Amino acid sequence: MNPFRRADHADTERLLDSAPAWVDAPLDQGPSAPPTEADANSPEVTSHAPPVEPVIALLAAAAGPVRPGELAGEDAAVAAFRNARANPAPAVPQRPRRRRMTTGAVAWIGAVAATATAGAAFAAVTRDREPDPVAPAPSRPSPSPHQGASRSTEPGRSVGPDVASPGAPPSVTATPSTGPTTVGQMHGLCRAWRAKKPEQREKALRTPAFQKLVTAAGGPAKVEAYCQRLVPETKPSEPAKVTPSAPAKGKLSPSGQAPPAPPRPGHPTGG
Amino acid sequence: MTADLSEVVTAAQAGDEEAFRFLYRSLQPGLLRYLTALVGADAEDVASETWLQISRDLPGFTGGEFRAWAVTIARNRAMDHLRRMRRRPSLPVPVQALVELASDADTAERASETIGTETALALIATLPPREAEAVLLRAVIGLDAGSAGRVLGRRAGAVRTAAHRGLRRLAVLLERQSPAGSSVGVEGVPPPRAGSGPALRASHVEPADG
Repeated sequence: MNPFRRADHADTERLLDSAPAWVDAPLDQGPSAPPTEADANSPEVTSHAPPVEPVIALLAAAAGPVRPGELAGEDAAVAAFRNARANPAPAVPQRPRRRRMTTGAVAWIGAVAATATAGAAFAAVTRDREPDPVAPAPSRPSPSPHQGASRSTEPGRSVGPDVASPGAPPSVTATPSTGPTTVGQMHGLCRAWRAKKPEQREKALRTPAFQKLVTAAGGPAKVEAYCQRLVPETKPSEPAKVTPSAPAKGKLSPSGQAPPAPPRPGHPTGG
Repeated sequence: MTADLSEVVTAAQAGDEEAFRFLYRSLQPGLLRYLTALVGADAEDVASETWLQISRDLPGFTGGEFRAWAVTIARNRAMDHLRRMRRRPSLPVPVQALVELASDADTAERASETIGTETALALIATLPPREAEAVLLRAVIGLDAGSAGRVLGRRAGAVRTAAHRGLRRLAVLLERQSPAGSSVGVEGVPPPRAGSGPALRASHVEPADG
């Protein structure tokens, strides 16, 4: 019954199964129980197929008893075990799942993030006016911001008590006295807009997310000057406020396109 | 064996150091041999990384075949290592070992006595990587075809095929090595080195399945 004569894998499977020996088999013994019977080396079989005996011996040797040195790392491993028990590592950080996203989804994330950024900065500005020093992180989890994205002209956030109308007269030259809420939003929008690559800024202004900014500035051409007045570029922005938007901006800046897809980003990565 | 091991795993998860030691002793030889075929001389380093990760992730092990879980970690560490090293995942043919084999394995009958663990592993490592991995996981680690397939990300049937081909290749190889199996009738002259080299290389170059 030479397993190499035919394509029947059952014999090789048995042969393989018998090989691991070092755990159970006593040391100093060779292939203790070759699975194939003595007829494996009958001459007429050997003439047609390579003999199986040497392979059995080879597998037995490969799975042979522990060699000196193979367990040399035992103490180090146990020390690692002890150490891991003593300081349980904070759950191994899951690698961020990278999924392919359609361009449309990416673009819509861009819109969402821009609005969320505006909201975060807006909230931060509002909070700045309060004496409360304990400011919770203004990061906004992305699952919810689609409200803001779809309705960028209507900040549905509860923070804004009385939002200045986006249809403010274009002649407004954006003095910060326009009102805290609007200014806060414009701060965020300006930052989001500036975070984009220069070649994508013009395109970004055509997206719904930045319509408010365009309106407030009095036209796409005036946005830059408007933002310069509102948020002087030289002034380092407060890190606490920018933090939530920074990763989003970095991720989104390469994709400025905004296809006219329906504003349903939902879970953007689901697509 | 699996049942025993699962009890030990549970104990180790609960912090039993001796249980962990037992796991190490049970698994490490096979892991090291398998890793040697993958990363050569760096196997010990990769094995250390593997045990580091095993001890760290052990609390998160949720059951199943523990050896397959551990071997998967080892294999991932090895692949990372190879990516860093940009090396081929196979051992260069250890000429010295083959020469020894050629002169030692006079007959097929004596082969069982003469083939050492190192030589056997070196020969397996000359197989195409897929076959070598299948043979090692099945025969040295002791996984069944299904578990080996999960480690390798392949179907059990594919593992069986690869292992079968690998063993057959080894059989042919050993037959050529031994004068009894081939028609080399020159007395007193050991098989020439030049003869064993090309034979091995030819079998090594042979394409793996699919």
